[in-house]
Amino acid sequence: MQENDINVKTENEREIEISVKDLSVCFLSHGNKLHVIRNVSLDIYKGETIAIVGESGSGKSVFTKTFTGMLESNGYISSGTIMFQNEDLAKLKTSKDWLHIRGKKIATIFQDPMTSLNPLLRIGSQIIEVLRLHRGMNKEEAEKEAIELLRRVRIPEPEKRIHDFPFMYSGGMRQRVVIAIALACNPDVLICDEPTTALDVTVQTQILELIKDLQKEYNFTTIFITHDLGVVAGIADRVAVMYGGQIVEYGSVEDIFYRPAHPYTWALLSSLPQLADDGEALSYIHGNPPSFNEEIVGDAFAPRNKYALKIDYIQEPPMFKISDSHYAKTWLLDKRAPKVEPPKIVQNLSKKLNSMVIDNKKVGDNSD
Amino acid sequence: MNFKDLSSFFMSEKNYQTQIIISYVVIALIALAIIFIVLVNKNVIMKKNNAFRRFITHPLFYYSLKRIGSALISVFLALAITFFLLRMQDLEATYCDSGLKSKLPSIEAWNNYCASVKRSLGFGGNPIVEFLQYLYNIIPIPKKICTSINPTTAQCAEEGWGFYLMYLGYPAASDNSSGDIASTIFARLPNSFRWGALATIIQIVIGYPLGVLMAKYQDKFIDKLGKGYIILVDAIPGLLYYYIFFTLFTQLTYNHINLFPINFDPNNVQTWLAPAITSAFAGVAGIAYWVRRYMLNEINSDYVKFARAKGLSENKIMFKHVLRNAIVPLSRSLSTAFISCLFGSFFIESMYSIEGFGSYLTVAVQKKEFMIVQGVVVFSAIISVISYLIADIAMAIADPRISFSD
Repeated sequence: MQENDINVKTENEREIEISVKDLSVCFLSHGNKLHVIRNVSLDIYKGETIAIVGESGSGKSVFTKTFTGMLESNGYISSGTIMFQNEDLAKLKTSKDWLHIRGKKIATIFQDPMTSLNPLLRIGSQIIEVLRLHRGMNKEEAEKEAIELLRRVRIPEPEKRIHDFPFMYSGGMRQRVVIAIALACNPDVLICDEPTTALDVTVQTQILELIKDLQKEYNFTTIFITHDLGVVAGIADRVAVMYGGQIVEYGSVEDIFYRPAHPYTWALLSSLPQLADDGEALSYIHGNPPSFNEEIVGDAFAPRNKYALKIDYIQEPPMFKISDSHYAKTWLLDKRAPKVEPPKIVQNLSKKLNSMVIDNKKVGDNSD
Repeated sequence: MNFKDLSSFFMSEKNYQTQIIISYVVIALIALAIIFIVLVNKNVIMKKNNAFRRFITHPLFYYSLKRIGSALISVFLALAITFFLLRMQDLEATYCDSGLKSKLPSIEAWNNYCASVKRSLGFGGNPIVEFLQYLYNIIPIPKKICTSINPTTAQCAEEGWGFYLMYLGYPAASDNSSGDIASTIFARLPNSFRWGALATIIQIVIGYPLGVLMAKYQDKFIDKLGKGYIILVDAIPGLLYYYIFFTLFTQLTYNHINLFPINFDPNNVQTWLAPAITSAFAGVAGIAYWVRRYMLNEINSDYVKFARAKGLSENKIMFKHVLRNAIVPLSRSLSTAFISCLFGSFFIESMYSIEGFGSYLTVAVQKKEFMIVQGVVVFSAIISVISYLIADIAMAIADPRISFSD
């Protein structure tokens, strides 16, 4: 894992891009009120890559959807603030209010590139419409810029390609086009909602490399939603682990991989298939994620947690500070708690992870 | 324009021989052109890639050609089926005047007369030969055709030779005043077309926006209202609201409120409204239903979410992305709507006593006039196939994903 110079700076020196305070999101479903995001606070710094990891249903997608007002129609922000460039995004209601944020300042890339593009419009016109809308270009300028953007995302012969239709392209090529559209307005924040999940492994590496390179070039902040910790190790500066609609642990990549503190993070890391020894059964997290239909009492992870304490079933743990950059929400960090050692597999993670990252790098080099 | 005007405009009976030659030459040229195009497409001849070749091998061009070919086969099949089905009936009662039975000297004489009438109409002999004769008669080239056979000599009568572009036969002897069937249909078609086109326009102008609104405000008041209307139209038999509308318009006209006059007049657009509205009432529901359905399909697709994330306004997403994509599958339904307006409304034409295409068929079926039924089938098959052809080609142009290859 490479050392990141951003992490060397202390927190106070770094400028905050998005500051989420006590955010709660509810969904109304068949008369029930589901509390899907529960009092989440997180600061996202300018220019960093933050990965949000968690199981399906942990609320990671919903959490980032609040930044662009893309919640489903039955969902709403029940409390909290999202400060972005001196504006509280939680207060924006109609889609008209969102127009100056969406696409222009915060752009999103979705999971499935096969369906993200309008099948009946030419690739060029789908880029051009954004350029004309947000950057006020005329047709000729926009077309030139579109060609330039396609070149930036490494699409060969962009002059010809802008007249193509999406169905002529493979998944990886389409995701490049989607990225080009997302970058069309030079956004300050790029939300990548599992951008590589639908792609095969070699293409995944290419797309991740591309996003990394573009980030250096354009200097945007990246919010990376994924459940693939391998991806996280390769791309992120910081990681936030989500479970049951809450951030249970966050810190730098080194904090999370080498010094994980929350039992859920331990469980996630030990279920990485790459870390399993030959001939040994793969480890997994028993049980199911919590259902939002019932009020969650105490620690949401307690029923599946080998290390659960009695208090976990009664009272929700507060966020404990481990270091300046590293926080975790577990009673195990309390002074009164018994001393618990993380599982062995997590303890000798650093060795294995190093070799894994090198392997990944090799794949990336070959595919280029 | 009248069919007879048309034929006499382009050619007169005097230089009949020349016209025949010209027609056959034209047909031969078309056939040669088609063979040439097919050979060029299959790379048999002309391998140089110039502009002319690019035009001929353009996928859309070749696709249209193939579709026209299969359309002709459809018309042929429709014709063959109706031709032989109709011939399974004994239609002597319709065509042979039974009043002559007592006047003619013997029963043989009457049989002779009856046979000659049947032969003049083109049935009663070998059905295969008659079918081929019928096909020849309807091919639109100028030709001389025997329309009546002298009962005594069994040869064509002196005055029996006629000059026709397209010959569909005459109605039964009892109703000979109206002229041959082809020109009657050509005279009646414009009437059906007038109010049918108006009905189609009403359907589109009201049905499309209704469907769009229903999709945009899904599960809101307007959607529920529209759904109620669609269910109502589906649940009630068509005849019932035809009569409700007819009664309504009749009462209005009777009370001197001449908004929707019920006496159809080809030259007065206002009088087309009554039948058009009666017919469009159901069509609007159909179109609104499908527009809503396809729109919702598109609204819930990922590219709309991505378009929203791009920062496009809801209206722009609605019209540039959703509606455009939803219209593609709907473009096919337009031709269906038009055809159903043109042919489907036998009741409406009888109700408002419109001298149109639909009412012609109704009368013909009542009187067992099988030549007319056959003629109507010829026309409706050709018109339907042409409108489906246009819809298919339009859809192929609108949707780049449709491939033109086999």
